[in-house]
Amino acid sequence: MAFTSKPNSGRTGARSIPRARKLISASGTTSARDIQVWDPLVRLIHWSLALTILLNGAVVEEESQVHEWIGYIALGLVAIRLVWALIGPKHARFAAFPPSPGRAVRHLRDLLAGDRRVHLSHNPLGALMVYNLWISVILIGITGYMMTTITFFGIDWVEEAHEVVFGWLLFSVALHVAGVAVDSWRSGVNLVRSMVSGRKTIPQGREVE
Amino acid sequence: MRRLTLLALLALASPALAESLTKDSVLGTTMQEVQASLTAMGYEVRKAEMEDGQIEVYFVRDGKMGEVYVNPQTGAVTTLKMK
Repeated sequence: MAFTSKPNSGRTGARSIPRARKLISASGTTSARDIQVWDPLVRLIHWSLALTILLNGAVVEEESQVHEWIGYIALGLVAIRLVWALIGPKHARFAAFPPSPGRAVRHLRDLLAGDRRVHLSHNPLGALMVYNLWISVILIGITGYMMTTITFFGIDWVEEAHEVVFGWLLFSVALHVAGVAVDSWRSGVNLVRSMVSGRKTIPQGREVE
Repeated sequence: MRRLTLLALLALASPALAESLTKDSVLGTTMQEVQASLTAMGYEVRKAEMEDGQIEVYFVRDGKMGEVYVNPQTGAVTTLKMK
């Protein structure tokens, strides 16, 4: 069994029981469950990467050494995450959230049709966003490094690219946050909390994928 | 010995080494003048722009890179950053 489905117990039980009670009349027979989905490394990388973006985008002086180091840390975080997507636990793997525009379109259609299924890993739209965010960070990191080399120092297009991709990243982050809000509302699973605790509390009777 | 000769030759071959940019350099009051001065000193100008009312130039020479800020009123260097 790749994931453990356990009854409400222990620490998280107290929080999930009232929600389950509320849903009894409207839902089917499956009882509410608490499922471990994000391992500690996934969560640590997620929030650390968010922090590096915040720091380099809004706090740290642009042309400073600190900015460069934070950029390399961001690159390192993405690199570790990519390796983890090959060797890590099931929900962290590429196989759990393949980049598929077809699936994303179908998911969007289902979503508009009122589908309330819960995805244990990323939903297909979220998966595309994850790849987009990683690729953006990698591109920003590469162009940033290029600016420190003698070959590309002061070369306009490199700086432009660095800034354009960063703008795209900010837009993507805003969309990501909006997506998390919409999906939390749609599926009834608080996704922010699950990226903190690592667990998804699946409302009673909800279909899981 | 051979390396020394090579270095000596290199020094002779590039007159740029004779004059270097310092914090006391006066480079000119327009972007064109500043660029021309730096080029004459053997620097490769990568980029020149106005930044906070100052002329900012990115340059490269002898495998080193840097940025210089020039006051357009006086033509003098205000900040010199080598990387």
